[in-house]
Amino acid sequence: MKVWTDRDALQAGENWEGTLSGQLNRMDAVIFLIGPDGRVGEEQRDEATAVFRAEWESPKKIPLIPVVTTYTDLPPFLKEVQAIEVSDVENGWSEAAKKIKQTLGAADSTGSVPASGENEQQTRLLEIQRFADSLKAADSREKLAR
Amino acid sequence: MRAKPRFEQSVFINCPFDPAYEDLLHAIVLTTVSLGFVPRCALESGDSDYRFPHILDLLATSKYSIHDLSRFTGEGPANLSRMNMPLELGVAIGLKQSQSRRKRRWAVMVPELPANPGSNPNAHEYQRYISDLAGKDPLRHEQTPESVIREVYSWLKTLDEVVNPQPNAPDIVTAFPSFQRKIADRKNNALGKSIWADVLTAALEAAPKVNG
Repeated sequence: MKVWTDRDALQAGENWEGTLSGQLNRMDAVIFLIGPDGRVGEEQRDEATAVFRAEWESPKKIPLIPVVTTYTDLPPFLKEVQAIEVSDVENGWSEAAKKIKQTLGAADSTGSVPASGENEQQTRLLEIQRFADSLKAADSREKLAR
Repeated sequence: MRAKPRFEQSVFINCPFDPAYEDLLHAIVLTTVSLGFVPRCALESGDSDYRFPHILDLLATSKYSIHDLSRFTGEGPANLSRMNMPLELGVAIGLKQSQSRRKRRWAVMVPELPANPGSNPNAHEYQRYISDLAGKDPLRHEQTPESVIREVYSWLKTLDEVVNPQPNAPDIVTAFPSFQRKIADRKNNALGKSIWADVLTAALEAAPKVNG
């Protein structure tokens, strides 16, 4: 595996946005390392946005592989691929690398693992409909009052 | 009484409301609704002349906000530029800074313009009129509905409250013309008046549905 990280590859004064988006078009996967607090930072989310933007014109899907050191509830965009857990942060990285390689192999043959779970969209759309209906009712009441 | 959308699912939209931007506003609305968020904007308050208190309330009750800074050049005989959008962006940034526990997020959208002759070809034009955003990687669109859907989709997808699973982005692009037709039909029925509730309802009807 050839690894690219912005910290090692970017030079001082380089346009990081352009370099990152250029690199993303050549990536087979992006690994997200989540710290012990389980938080996904804003910069990581911005980088995920850049991945989704890169996918737009690309024929391939770029899997996002989360690597966590403790169990955490990941945001939906990091749930498409099974997270790799490194419980032994001192010695567990060789094992993690093997798992990443396996995950990449699986993603090559099948694409990303589809998310499971209930369909939230239907529930949310109903909530938005209720809100739209209440706006409409308020608008009608204002017209009557005029 | 109006139903109140949840804070975590509300996305405040701060953008121009002129006819030239209307298609792009609709692109933001369709994408937002398709991913299960409630688009909130000043148009909710109807015709009232002084909207700012309502805008402040919308910003305060929306966890997320999208700010399009497309109208940064002078317009009209007096060559004035519109300051409402930068002002509302400032309010959103201030709320985020002062209420760190609420985990608000804001995104700025800018049009991708051709590079100015003689300027650094690696620099983006927005860095010339809002250099404080350097390093923030704004959402950059080509002033087309498709590019706006691409940017808004890519951003909303990273949020914790996005519906899971989500519809595919190309399906939202495909649904867009039908959404526009539904808005036009409703506008005709309302004697040419565009009502925000109608725009929301049209988005709900047109949004690509996921099977789960």
